[in-house]
Amino acid sequence: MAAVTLGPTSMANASSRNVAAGPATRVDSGGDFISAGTGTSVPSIPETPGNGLCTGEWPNVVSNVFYKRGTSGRLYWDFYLTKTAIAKLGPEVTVDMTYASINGKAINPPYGPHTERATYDFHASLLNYGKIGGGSGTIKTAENIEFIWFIAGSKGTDAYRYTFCKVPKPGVG
Amino acid sequence: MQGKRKVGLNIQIRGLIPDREMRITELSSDHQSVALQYRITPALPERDPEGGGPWLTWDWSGVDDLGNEYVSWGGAYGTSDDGRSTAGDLTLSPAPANGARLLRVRLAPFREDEGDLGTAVAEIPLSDSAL
Repeated sequence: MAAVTLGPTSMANASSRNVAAGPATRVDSGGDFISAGTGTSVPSIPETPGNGLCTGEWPNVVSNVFYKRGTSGRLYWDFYLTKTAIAKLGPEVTVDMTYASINGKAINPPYGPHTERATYDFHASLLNYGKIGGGSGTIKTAENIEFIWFIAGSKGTDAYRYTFCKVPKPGVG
Repeated sequence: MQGKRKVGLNIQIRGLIPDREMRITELSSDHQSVALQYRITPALPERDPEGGGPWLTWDWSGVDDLGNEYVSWGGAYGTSDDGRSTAGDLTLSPAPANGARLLRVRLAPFREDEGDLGTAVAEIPLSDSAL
């Protein structure tokens, strides 16, 4: 598997992609496949719906991300690779979150690398976080959250996925 | 870089998930995290292939016997090959502190339709001999 670090500064080849749909279907363009070892050829700016809330399912060709905010204020997500992705990536994958930010400020990504079967539910949550460079915080309603995942496949194709969404009120999802 | 170290475990978590048995089967750690492998029998229902959220959602955290806190760093789970169990891992960060001998992991699953399923605390040995 290629060792690739994805983050805003590594995304050299910006390209223009359209957000595929509005809130009704909300299929987003935040992800695609890449040849293993070419992890820099991804867009520079997340293009998932900018006004979208981190709720419900965010479908994409790579993965469907399901968000929910618990009554405690914690934001949960489940990351499911699509059938298309599983076919391209192979039976075993390493899912890693390479970048995360709150209102544009980088935080320690709340998901470490997990090497598992591609059919698994890759899940995590976020409430309190550490800022890159020091300090800490707690997510708040209406803050903008950006996540970027890198998925290393086992048959020569990798993938990336990102979402950019707004924290909903507690208990929404 | 320090490699991953693993040790087998067989810790039963009683009564946490109704009508199912949960066992922590392995502890692994590397330079930045510690992970618990687990198995739930019988298997949890599969997610609706047409979409929707998971049948079960996990919340977890840890504290060792020295008072150091560990935060969740993601997990993954799915149905085992034979279809009888759900296998998965729950990862915490950072790596176990030097000198820590016991990690208490608070496990708090919940379901969308039933709410919190309760909380269990698993006591995981962290001694040098275990890792």
